[in-house]
Amino acid sequence: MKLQTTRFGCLEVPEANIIYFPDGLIGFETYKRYVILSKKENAPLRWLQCVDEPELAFIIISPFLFKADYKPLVEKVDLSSLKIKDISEAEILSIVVVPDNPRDMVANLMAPVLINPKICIAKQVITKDNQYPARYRILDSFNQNRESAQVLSC
Amino acid sequence: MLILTRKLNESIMIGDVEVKVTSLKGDYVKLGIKAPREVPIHRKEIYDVIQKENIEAAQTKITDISDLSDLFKK
Repeated sequence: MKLQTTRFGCLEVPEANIIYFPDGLIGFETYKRYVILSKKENAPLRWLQCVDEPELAFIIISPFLFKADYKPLVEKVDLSSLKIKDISEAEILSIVVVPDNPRDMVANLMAPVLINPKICIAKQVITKDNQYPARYRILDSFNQNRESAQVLSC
Repeated sequence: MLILTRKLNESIMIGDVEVKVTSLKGDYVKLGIKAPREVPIHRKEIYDVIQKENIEAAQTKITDISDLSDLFKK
């Protein structure tokens, strides 16, 4: 299908790549369909581009890239809405805020995006414990964890 | 905003969601919530924090993240 985006122009995207968020993202509940865009296959930062609003896109990252021991506790009801039993079945992404100085970029570890890659259903979940912050400084810890990068599909 | 007065162990119903005052201690009120599993329940301040982060993330003026990816190289 053709995908209109503000940042990347008009793209051709296979419909199978569309990830459906039944609840949208928190604060963006009306937008439910996204695709993940990346120029290079293993780029650490990628885009979560809304299918239905050309301007709406979030920078995302695998939290394991900079926090290898990341283990969010998630409500069972969130897992069952993704049709999974355990969080290990999900692909986990964090939404990134990049300020004027990109070295200060932060990732939201408090509310990760969980994707069931088998059925391409996703949800932004609020973690149960207060163990992880909403603004985790990525580059401070990146250098200690660079061996643990994970490659995601979907 | 609708304001109702409730005593300890009294409830209100919001649709099919029950909210009950289960304990009172000084400034603290404990609420019990009985709701269908699919109804998300969050402390508002947590929800607000995440909403604010998402809005800030969506407002990025950045169009090319290739340069940023270089920050991840040693």
